[in-house]
Amino acid sequence: MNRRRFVRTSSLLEEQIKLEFHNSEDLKHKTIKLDGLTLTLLYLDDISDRMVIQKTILSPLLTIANEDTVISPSDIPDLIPLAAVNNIEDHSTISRHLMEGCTVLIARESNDHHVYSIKTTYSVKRSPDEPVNEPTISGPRDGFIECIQDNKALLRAHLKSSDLLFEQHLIGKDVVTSISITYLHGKASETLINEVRERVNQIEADYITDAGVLEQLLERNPLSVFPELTSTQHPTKVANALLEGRVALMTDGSPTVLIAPTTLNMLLQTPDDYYFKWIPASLIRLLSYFTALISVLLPGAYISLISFHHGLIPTSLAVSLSKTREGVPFPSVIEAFIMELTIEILREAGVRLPKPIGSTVSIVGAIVIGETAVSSGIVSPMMVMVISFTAICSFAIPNYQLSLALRTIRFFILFSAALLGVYGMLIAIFIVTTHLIKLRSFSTPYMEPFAPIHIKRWKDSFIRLYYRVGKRTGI
Amino acid sequence: MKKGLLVFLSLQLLFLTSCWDSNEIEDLGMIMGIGLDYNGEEKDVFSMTNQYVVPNNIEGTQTGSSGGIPYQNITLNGSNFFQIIRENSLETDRPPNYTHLKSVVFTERLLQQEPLKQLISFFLRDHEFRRTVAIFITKESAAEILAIEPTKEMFPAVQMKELTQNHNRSLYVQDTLKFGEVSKKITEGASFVIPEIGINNGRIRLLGAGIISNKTEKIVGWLTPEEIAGLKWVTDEVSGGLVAIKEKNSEEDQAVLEIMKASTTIEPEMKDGQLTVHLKVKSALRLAEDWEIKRDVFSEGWEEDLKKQGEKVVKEEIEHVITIAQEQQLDYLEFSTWTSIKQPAYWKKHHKEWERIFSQLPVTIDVDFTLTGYGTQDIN
Repeated sequence: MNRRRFVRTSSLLEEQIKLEFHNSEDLKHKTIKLDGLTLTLLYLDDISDRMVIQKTILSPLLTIANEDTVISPSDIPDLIPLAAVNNIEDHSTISRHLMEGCTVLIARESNDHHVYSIKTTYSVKRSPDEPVNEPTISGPRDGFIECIQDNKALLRAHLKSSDLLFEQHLIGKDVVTSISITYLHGKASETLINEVRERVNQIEADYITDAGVLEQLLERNPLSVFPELTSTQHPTKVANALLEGRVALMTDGSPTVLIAPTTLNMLLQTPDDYYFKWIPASLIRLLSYFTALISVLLPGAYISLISFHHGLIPTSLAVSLSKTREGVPFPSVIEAFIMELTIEILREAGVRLPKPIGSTVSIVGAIVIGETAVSSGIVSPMMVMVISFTAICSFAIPNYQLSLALRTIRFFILFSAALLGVYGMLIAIFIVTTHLIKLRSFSTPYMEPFAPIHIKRWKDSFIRLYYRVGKRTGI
Repeated sequence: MKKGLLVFLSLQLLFLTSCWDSNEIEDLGMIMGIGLDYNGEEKDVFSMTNQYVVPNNIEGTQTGSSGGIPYQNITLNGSNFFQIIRENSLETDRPPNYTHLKSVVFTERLLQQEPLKQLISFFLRDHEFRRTVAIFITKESAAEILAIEPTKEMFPAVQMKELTQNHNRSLYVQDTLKFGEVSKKITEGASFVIPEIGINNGRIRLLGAGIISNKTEKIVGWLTPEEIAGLKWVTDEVSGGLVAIKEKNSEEDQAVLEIMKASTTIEPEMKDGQLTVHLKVKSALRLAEDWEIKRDVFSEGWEEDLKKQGEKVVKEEIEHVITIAQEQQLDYLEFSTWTSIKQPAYWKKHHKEWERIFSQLPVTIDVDFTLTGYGTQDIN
């Protein structure tokens, strides 16, 4: 956007705005002449509600025009029966107000003029449905949508507290996106808020399309596969995080809200964990830790056992494994890689295809992998079992970002195991663990509360302890 | 740029090894059992039978499984075992792998000619042989034993090892003797017994045991299954089985007691400079089978008679084994171990002449039975 100097004459002002919009057809322009006062209305046709403009701006003004009352430009806000009437001092922001669907009213008296912006936004919005990638069994089913105002409203509805603060920041060189730093005053530490603010202000981008882009711009470890911010579409999840003293970042135009700081522990939790009794909830927690481990280690462990450490397999299993692998033309690494690749392709195909056709992929996949690949002898049945179990385990991981990260690491471990067996696998695990312990998300250790160790906080980690009577709980 | 090259080169160190040491499971010649025979020829003294798994012949749920024998025995001769194993590669494309080895069978003649210490030297040194491999001795040829088709297991070698797992079912079954235990006994310089395996009507059958002397490390004698029972009572290995009583010297009136619990303590005691060993056997039993019509288990004191008879049977068994051992001057009864623990001063002084002392050692045997019941029902 060119920050041209705006001339302080309103006729020129109008011209300049029109010029800025390249005389676009949807920029409507209407002039009312009152006694010694010229009122010019400017609005973008498609995103402004014409009925609202008609009822709340035009008709009161026209009534006054008929009554021949003398009015000064400063009286205008009182004449319009709408709450959101803002006086615009900085004329360079006019275009932004227009793009938000506001109607800009320029009141001109001989050589003095006032500019007002009146909120007349009209937009098409979907309803706050349950997020598709984060289904819950019980608990609130609303989800964030693409409109930041509505998202704020949703959050307010869940978190009725006067401490809830939204801090608006505008980012983007070519296209301005509004971002809201959200936190609970008194809960979030000042240093954390400052760090978030600082990182947001440092962003230099042309255009932020989605929270996913913002997430990557805020990250400080771009080479890591692990997400530094949790993204969610659940208002309750954000509310819980805010109560824990975290900071949320809302992006206009994106249903995803980012939460900082993030820990590995946080990524393995679901809102459902808190809605059930603590014993089954803890077992489910343990299960998600277990599935995360399995989805990373199983293929590597299988490869290293059957091609390096045969002595570690129980004899009867070893005998039947050597029977099932009889006649398979590839070494087990290649076999595993073929299967993994097939699963990943099927998964991507399932995502990309429209929903009605999506089921076809799974049927074809099941038949191709489950039946023909085995019966034609390309892969052994045990390998199919190992890889598909791994895939199912990775589906069971509550967070999609983490699931993606673990998929990447699974291949790393697979190749390390193929090179050096269990020894190679241990080296790979060592590398990943070292990285995880070193990793920090907004100055918070990623492996907290395990490393550094905070045993008292373990009550909400791989287990979830009961709520004590009369005690405030972590969530 | 230079750094990148360095990282690239050091990564090559990893990748250039490719899949070093990798060996797919189907390319292995998994070996389940080894049979060692004495060939006697001057050039090739030993004969070694390796029992290979033939995966293709294993019956499975998958289609295409033929009903062939799932194992293949390859017998080769040579003057040492390592050489024979390497010679196997001349006949089989799958290199032998011993990580799943279950049993090793020695033939009697081999142990008469060569000391066990030297025979198992190779198997203890090589890392592929686990210390849990079961050892057997046979009067037949070891190759023949390994060729007997098993009835319920897939491999003869597995069946042999599994047989010794029945040691809590019968007094005649000795617990598995593992490589690790043999190496321990040899290091201790103790005599010990190896379970004997034989052929009965074309089936593999556990028999008694062969005695290995600590002096020569060769086989010097045999124990019958009944003697194994006595040995088990002495060495506190009884964990089940039965005691049969012939009442009033008549076959008709026998009673059978099932052993529920048993424990033996060996207590060497010094009295006036003379070592005496007290053997205390405690056991809980129940009446399992009764041929006596007149017995009334509902009257008090019904078990007194049975108790005494049973104690007498066991005591005789124990006495018999101790006599044999003392005659042979071979202490496979673990008396030396207990003496060294309980009477260390005496042991330190006299352990060199233990054989002489052992052969004249007075042993008192005290058997104490408790009859805990007569089962779920008595029909008298």
